[in-house]
Amino acid sequence: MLEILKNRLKQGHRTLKFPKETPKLAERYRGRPIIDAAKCAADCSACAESCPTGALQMHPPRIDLGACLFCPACSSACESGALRFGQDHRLATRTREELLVDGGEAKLAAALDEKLRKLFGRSLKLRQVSAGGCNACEADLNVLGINVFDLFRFGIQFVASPRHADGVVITGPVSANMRQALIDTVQATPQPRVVIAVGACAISGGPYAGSPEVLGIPPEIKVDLFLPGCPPHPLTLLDGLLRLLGRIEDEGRISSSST
Amino acid sequence: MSAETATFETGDVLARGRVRWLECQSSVEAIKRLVHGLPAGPVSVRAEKLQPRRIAVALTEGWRGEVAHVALTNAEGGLAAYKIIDPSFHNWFGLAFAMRGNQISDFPLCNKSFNLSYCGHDL
Ligand code: SF4
Ligand code: SF4
Repeated sequence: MLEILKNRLKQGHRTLKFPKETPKLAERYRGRPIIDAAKCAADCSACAESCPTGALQMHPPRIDLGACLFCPACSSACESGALRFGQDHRLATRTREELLVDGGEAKLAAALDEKLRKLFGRSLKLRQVSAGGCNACEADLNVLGINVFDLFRFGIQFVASPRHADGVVITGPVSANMRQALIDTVQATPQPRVVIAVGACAISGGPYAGSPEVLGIPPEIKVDLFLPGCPPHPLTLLDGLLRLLGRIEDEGRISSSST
Repeated sequence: MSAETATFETGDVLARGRVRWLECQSSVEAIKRLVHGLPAGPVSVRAEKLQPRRIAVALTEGWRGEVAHVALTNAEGGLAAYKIIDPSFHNWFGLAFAMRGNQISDFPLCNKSFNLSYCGHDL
């Protein structure tokens, strides 16, 4: 017992000051890609050829973050330094189209409208559906509950039934066997509700795109927030959730020069 | 490579905690040994063209235990099917067995002491 207390005192508190302060991420962390199209050689497509998911569109080079695995075969293949991965964890968007990154200015996820903010701003209960995910996206959602990120201090919680939820978080590429369960879960969540797609799989099929077993999120389910990554860093998730609730108040834009 | 199999007699939550602790220790030892004997060569290589109509089975070590990969190729040498089974797939039955005769209030503790993956079972 004394040992435990001593250990606690020694460790101090671990909760981050996020979003007031962003911790320095590990050097090898790969966040928002930094693309310098001017450096890209016109006759080279080495990056796009190396991409396992077809996330790269060429000339000028653009990365669809919704399909990107941050693997990073492309930046290793690029010899002219036109493409590298920066340290910016802020990747959340409200639309699928905004996930296409070309190195120019990017718009970050905007907050919900005022009525929904009033409803969910201080209490958002989420039901998670793992629709064929690999367990990494799920693990990084789970880790938001530990004292470092401490999701609960923002009033955001995962609940055990869609009947108790204000929204659904979807991970995985939506396999044929999980499609109906996902539809039922969304329908069982009372309205108004939010739908959040987490990870390359949920957004585009990720590494499983093209498989006959992979059906994707049915078009009748409207996604309100896209959180890209494979899996997304917990800070990417937290940043996106707080932006959706209007609890991060900055200009909501980033330019390509930020790292 | 040899590794000691961690066991504990009582078969309860404490036992599973102890087994995990013993496994952590032997994993650290194994990593230390392996790190010094890494083979030379590139970290990753591009996959060559696959043989047509073959089946390949591989077992790898994951953090919950043994992960089995099975790949089948079609007549053109493309992937016809790929299945991955993680240890949770088998161990959910163990949890069901361990829960017999217990109160529902014990479920969360027992469940988390197994710490199985929910992913990959409805595919
Ligand atoms: S990092 Fe993304 S864009 Fe680059 S090769 Fe990997 S999946 Fe493709
Ligand atoms: S996006 Fe990546 S990490 Fe997430 S479920 Fe798919 S494969 Fe796993």
